[in-house]
Amino acid sequence: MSMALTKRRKDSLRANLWRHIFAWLLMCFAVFPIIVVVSSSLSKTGALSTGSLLPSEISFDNFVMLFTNGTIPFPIWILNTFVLAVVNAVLSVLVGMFAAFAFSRLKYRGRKQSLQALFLIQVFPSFLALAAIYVIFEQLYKLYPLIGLGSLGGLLLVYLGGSMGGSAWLLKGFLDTIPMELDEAAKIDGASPAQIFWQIFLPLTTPILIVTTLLSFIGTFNEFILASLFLQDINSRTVAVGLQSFVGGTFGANWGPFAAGSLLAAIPLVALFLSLQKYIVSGVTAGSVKG
Amino acid sequence: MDRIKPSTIAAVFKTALLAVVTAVLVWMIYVAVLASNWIIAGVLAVVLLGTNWVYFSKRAVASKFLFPGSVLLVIFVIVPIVYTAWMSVYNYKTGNEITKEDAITQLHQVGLVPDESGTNYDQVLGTYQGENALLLTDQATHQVFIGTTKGLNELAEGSYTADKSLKATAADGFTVASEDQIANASSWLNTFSVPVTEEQFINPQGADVASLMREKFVFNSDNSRITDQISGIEYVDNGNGNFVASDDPANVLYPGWRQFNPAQNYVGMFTDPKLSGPFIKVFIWTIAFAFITVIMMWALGLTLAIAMDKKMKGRAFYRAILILPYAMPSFMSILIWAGIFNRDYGALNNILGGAQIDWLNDPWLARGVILTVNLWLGFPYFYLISTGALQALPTDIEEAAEIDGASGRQIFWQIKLPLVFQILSPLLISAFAFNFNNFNLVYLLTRGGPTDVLNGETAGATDLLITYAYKTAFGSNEQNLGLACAISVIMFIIVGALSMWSLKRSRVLEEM
Amino acid sequence: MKITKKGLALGAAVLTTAAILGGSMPAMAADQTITIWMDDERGKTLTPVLDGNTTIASGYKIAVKTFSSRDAMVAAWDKASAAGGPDMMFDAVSSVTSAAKNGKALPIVLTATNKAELPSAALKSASYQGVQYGIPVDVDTTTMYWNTKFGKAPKTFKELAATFAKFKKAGKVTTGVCAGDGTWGALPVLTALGGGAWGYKADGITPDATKVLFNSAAFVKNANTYLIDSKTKKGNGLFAWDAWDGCGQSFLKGKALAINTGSWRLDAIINAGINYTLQPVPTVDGKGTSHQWSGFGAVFGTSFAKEHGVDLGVKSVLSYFASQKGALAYATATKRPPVNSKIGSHLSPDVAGFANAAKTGLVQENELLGSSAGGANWYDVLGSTFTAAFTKGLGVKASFDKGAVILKKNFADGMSKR
Repeated sequence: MSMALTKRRKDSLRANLWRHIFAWLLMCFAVFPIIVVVSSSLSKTGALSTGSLLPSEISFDNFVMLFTNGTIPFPIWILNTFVLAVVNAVLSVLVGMFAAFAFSRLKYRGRKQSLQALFLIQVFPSFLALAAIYVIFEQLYKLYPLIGLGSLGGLLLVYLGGSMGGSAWLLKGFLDTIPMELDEAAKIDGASPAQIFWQIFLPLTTPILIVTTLLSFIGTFNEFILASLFLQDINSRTVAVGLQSFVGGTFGANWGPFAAGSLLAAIPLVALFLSLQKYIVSGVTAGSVKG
Repeated sequence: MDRIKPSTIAAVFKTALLAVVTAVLVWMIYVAVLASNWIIAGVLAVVLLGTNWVYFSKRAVASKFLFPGSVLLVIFVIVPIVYTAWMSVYNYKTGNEITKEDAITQLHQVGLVPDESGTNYDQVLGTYQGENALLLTDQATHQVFIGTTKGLNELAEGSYTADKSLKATAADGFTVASEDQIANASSWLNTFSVPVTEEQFINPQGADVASLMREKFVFNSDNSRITDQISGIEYVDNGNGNFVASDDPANVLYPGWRQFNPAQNYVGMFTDPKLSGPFIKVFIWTIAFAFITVIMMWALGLTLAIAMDKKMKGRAFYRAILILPYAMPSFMSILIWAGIFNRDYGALNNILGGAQIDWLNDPWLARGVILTVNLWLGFPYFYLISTGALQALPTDIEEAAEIDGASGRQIFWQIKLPLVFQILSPLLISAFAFNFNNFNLVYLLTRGGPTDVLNGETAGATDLLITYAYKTAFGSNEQNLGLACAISVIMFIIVGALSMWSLKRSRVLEEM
Repeated sequence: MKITKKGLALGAAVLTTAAILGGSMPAMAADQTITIWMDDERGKTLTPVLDGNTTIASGYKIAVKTFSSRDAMVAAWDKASAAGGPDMMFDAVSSVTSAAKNGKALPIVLTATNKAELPSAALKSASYQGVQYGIPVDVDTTTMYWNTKFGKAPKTFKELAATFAKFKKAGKVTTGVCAGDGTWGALPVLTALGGGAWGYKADGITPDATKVLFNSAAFVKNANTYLIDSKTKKGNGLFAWDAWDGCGQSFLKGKALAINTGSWRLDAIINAGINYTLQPVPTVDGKGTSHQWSGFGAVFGTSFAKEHGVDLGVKSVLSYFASQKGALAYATATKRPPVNSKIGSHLSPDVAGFANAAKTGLVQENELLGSSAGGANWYDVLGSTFTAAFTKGLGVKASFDKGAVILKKNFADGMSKR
């Protein structure tokens, strides 16, 4: 091994030292409550182990129970959540991206006003608006059960309703950083706005699309208030709603299976994040401008 | 730019997609029309025409991109907001929820009361002289009757057969209904009434029992009054959603209805001392909380993003762990944090060697706890968007700066950070608005407390405007929905104004 | 030319899709279905019994819809209209009265048999302004689960205090009696020591709002004797309450002597491997008995049932649950203590234990407990008073006196609306 290489490695360790320390400190903070979840999920008593962080005895009963108890269709809940989250993530990012593209690149009357309006709308404290949403979906249920109350389809529509307000501003911020020369050059080549969108912008914005997709995906996994109103049939529930029935009783909270289920549900999220993070890399924009 | 080429596949795909959407919408309109639901049919027709116009027109380029999101936004976000605002001008609370028409119907039904004699009949369904009829056995006296819409005929002993409990099961001239007929009897049974005297009648109370009833409440549509025929009390419309006794306004009939009363909730908000008294205190904490929490979350998220921006050993592992708080259902995390901070049973005091620190019952500690927990919940989000922002910065800027001889630190503070801030400032403002109304966090963690109830406090140390309003509108036995809606509107005005002001200040809008 | 091609393609696709959709026209919901809402807790055990049943109300099919929590169900119910609302619901009686007040409940007529078998207090709590709406089906009440690991349950509060002192010194327990379910389970301890909420008029069931027992002299004296540590002047741990349920979790781990809670904890306690006996919290000298809240659960029909044209079917189902047969089926399935007095002999010991406990229960008068005319409702006043007296050590008398002032106003306000 050459001297130069060893030196560089040392340098990089020193340069990165604060990063490692920072990461470890923050990890302690991040996992502190999660240790409680892990230890509760391994506990036999179903008690929430907030007192001591290490489980006194280890049992996998809670995990086994989720898959063997006939009245708890846990795998179906996971499947429902996954389908809902994937479809919602793809569609809502697309809808948000459409809007962001128009806001960032297209000239039309009332653009500034519509952006401001969109901003204001998402500031509305919406928990009372649930009543209206409920009424709308009761009516839809009578006519079209597939997208009415109780259906994943209906829930998807509500989520999509918020998608433009949720991600258009974020995405617009990024589109603004893409140099104008790029689409001007394309326009000169005779490309239509649709072609500019699909063939230039979409590939260029991969990092932020991934981030937005992840945010949307996780959001769906954890969304609970709307879902618990909507999904009444035990087989149509999402994980968050399904698991809630363990702790949502009068007070007879059974934390064990709840904690186990939450951990299992978090695995796909983390896996997804890990598999997608390689796309969140810098330099995509610059590279393509040069190319 | 050889990538740009007209694609027939895209055109075909677009046409096919439009066709499917059109067909689905046409079918949905058809179903709505069949059910005479004109509102839904109308809305869908507008969407149908809009879709086809936007995507076939050569001109509406921006609309092509904005249309799908806008339709969903209008139906599922804006309509509910308008609905909330609309409900805020009604006297809309427990006891005053339905329409006046429904309330009168319901009062009439409530007014169909059992006769004071409490006479009940065992009932057999069937037909008599070709008409629907009931074979009735008085549960107390065991007298047997046949009841039709014309009246009640007592049967002589011997003209019917009874079971062990003396209940008549068949009678001469009476055809007992078959299982199938019973199953379909509700169509006539619902409205079936056997007149007995001027005031008394017999109503079925199910398939096998009937009761002697009388009508208590009679609504007179001429003068919009209700008369109680038993006590003789006259009830008049009090103008605010209820019928009250004409001589005693405190004698109120329920259900009432939601009465249009535009000023009531808005005036009440400022005149009710319970609500307006602690307003300033709660308002200051709300602003402080929303501001501090966003700064904290962003500072931590951005620092983390910068720390993880460089390739280093274990980065994937760090990232996986650090994203976990965001991947847990937040209502569970909040409850677990509440447990950790518990004075007697919490892990934190245990770790501190059995300390007796009452984290959640001291006003300042509780505020600190709220900020800490929210930091935990929110930093991964800010980490993600900050990472995205950092990655999106054009690398040539950095290269250019390096060529100009700028140091890494200068590049970061003077070039990167302002750019990141500019991209993220709208999101920071949205986060501010979100936390301004962060109901779940406060409600699940401290319920707004600690509140010094014994010394007359009604608002807690960690109460946000939204939790305080919620407690006031829903905290007691009466849920005042109209008031809650009015509070939402006022909060919207406050937080909307604050957000627009900061948006203007951030100069994001000028850049456009 | 181009336009025509596009048009043709569009037309063809529209027709194809329309044909597919046309073939799958949704069947309109059958009119003769009775939809019942309940939360998962009841749903878990009742769905197998009720869902799809066609015999309880002949000519009607029952469909059960369950919600993941009671909160979710009530949230949906508040918003529901006839378009998607239920025909019947199982819930606490407070839902019956508010539904009646809102015009969303179906009035019913009771038969003489129902009246004879169902206690009048229970029936009254499921009525509003003199009209009957609900059939009470179960009692939510608490009793004391004593962990037999700590010996036999004590007969007097004195003995309880001594047992606690012994095991606390040995480091075996941190908590004596836990008031489960927030401050709901605190009443037995208050009444065992001579305190409580309000007094009663001569009939024994009508609350007398002028008699506030909260800060009675006997209670202050006993609380100072048994619940306060003489050195720190704060609570000694014998009595614990917790909005977050810390002491409940502590009991499950075997670190508390006892917990006051209801049948809803039964499974959790058995699963945690705790051996227990059920009895009331003992009074100071073992004479008389302590009291706990008892709230009734009921089944009721909604005004939507009438709009759906199934109200007679709903009435049949209601009369089924009022009958002995229905009450027994319900109690057997849900393991909840029944209201119907005639079916006691058919119950399992645990369920019978709770049914027994319910006999000394005080009716949870929601109008009185929920009123916040004095500034905060009963539950919040309790929390604050306990914190002041036991956590902060501000003195039992001073704290409970302050609480009593608020409660007095609440009770007077509640009685006027009762």
